[in-house]
Amino acid sequence: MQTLTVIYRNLRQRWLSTCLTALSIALGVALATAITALRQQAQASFANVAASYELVVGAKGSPLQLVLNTVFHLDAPVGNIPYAYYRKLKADDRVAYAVPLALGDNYRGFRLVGTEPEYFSLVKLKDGQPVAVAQGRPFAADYEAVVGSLVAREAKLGLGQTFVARHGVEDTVAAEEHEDAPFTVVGVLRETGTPLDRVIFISLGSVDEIHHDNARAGQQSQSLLDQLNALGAEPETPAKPDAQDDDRGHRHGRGHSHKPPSAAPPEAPTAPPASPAQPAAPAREIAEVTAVIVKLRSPGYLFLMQREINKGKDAQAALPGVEVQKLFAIVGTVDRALLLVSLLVVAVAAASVLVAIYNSLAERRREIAVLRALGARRRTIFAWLLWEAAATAALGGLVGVLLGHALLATAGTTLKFLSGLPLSPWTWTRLEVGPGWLTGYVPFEAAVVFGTLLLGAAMGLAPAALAYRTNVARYLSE
Amino acid sequence: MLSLRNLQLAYPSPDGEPPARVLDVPTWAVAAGEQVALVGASGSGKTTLLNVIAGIVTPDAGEVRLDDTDIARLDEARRDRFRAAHIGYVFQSIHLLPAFTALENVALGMKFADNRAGKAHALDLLAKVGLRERARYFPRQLSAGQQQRVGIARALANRPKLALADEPTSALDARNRDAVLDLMQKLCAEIGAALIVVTHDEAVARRFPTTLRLSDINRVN
Repeated sequence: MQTLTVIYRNLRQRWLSTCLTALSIALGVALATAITALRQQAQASFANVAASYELVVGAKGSPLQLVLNTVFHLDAPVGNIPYAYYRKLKADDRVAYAVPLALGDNYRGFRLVGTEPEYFSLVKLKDGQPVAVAQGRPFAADYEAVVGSLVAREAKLGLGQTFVARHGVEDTVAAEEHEDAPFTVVGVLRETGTPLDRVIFISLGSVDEIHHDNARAGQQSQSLLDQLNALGAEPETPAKPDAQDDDRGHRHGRGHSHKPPSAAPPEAPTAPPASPAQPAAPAREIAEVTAVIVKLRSPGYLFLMQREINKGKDAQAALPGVEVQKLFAIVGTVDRALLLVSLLVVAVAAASVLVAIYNSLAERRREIAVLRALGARRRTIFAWLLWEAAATAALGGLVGVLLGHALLATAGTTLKFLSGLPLSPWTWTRLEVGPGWLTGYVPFEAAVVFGTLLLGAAMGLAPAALAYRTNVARYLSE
Repeated sequence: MLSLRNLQLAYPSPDGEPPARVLDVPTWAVAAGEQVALVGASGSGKTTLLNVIAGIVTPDAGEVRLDDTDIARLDEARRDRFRAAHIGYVFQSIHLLPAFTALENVALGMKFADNRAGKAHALDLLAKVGLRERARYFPRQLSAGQQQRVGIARALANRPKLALADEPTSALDARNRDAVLDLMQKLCAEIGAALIVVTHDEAVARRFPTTLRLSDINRVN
């Protein structure tokens, strides 16, 4: 009979105790696995996305906030910079391209971002491919929209369909709807596995249009006289931009003539317009943008240009890669604290292995005596007890690793929805602690299972030593 | 085959008194294939004597020789191996291991003796004790009589030179007692093993060709 069979039979005999002990270890291991895998994958995803952008220019303030808002479409914008500043950047000889972004409103929580149509061809992602419109075409007029793949799927926005944006970047019930300004979907982006999947791109002009309307509405409510004046007023009436207003900094541009959208009526899916009803964004006079994505002709200009911009009073330049590193340095503190808690859970659970085997020993002394009388050596009994403890702990480790990845799979769906960043819950996690020869070849999961095996064996030492010293004659006669 | 010479064993007393002598056997021998019943009252040292013969308890002095090997002089590891290979032990309280099937209980006895005869041999033994069909039953699924028959199969799995049985029928009714004793005697005869059964039951002792009182060989009593 194989030793493994003996171990299995003995563990099965006390299956409830074995399962409960293994489960307590599994919970700690699951937590540690989920935390480690989530951080590694999130860090890799963030770094991957950040690597697609060389330099981001925006209003003075927190560079991390600027990067989060511009690259990851999270958080509130820092503020706005003049459109003229964007033009100045674009005209700089050292700049290969500069693409403006203007944060608009939201539709069901998906942000509307104003930009130039060239965004889709100029900005290349980590895979070397441009953002690219997979279905339909880039927007060519105001109130036309190109939606990310996740938006198309989740909000069920196909080509030709229309939608009405809500005011602000968060989807709240109280938010005002721009009912008179429905957008028509004219394009759907390819699936990128980046935050772009959950963005709705519109023209810069569209952003100005809807917010000029808001600004004007705000003015109308101030006084009857203003309302009467406004009746005959041209929409070009300047509306003072407010970079840090109650819309959390999304653009309120200088006024443009607000015209009804050229798209089909809302709720009725229609074919994409054959030709734009209004000229595209570049033809308009835009007052401000939220940020500018800059690609330089040579990497050598990068730090030079960043310093130049940061010295000025109008804007700041941030390096997305650097900011992501800073972000994870901050997150790392919380992560380490959680990891420590999960390791404590594992340690406490490992002690339960000792207790479980020690408790079982009382009823097993006679069995051990019988085995010894049949010819089993002391060291055989000692080894069996150690293996039982190790196997119980390793079972917990194995279940914990699977449970941790299952947690990740569950969290991954939510995380992808919230950030657009995909998780691969069933891929190996990198081992971060240990010598190079170990971390280079052994995944975290294998190390954890092996670690719990060793921990269990260590916990089994004391009961095994007691079993080793069993008085055979005494227990045979009981 | 089995010979005891000047065997001495005393247990230490807890209160500083002189050690309590348990065994003092000047000489005793059992021939190969001989079947002996050793009768004695409870607490007279019958089980202790069997444990000394089996090498489970080391005597203070004297020889316990099985053929050419003095078990008392072997170190513990060798004694364990020797016991596994050459001595079969049937226990008073049956003592089957509850986590293992009848077949596995028999196979375990073979494992410790490095007996590679395999599952077929264990099944054959179970067939001989009439439990071939119950080979995959766990002890809790067997009656007391059936459990003791598995215990006999386990004790004889390595074709030992000597079989020791400590009150093997004390947990059985009369019908099962006779069946188990018949079986044990028959199987030991088949393999040529000497059999020593200790009992307090005269009815059991009467079934053996040789019956001794413990006091006949142990001077402590």
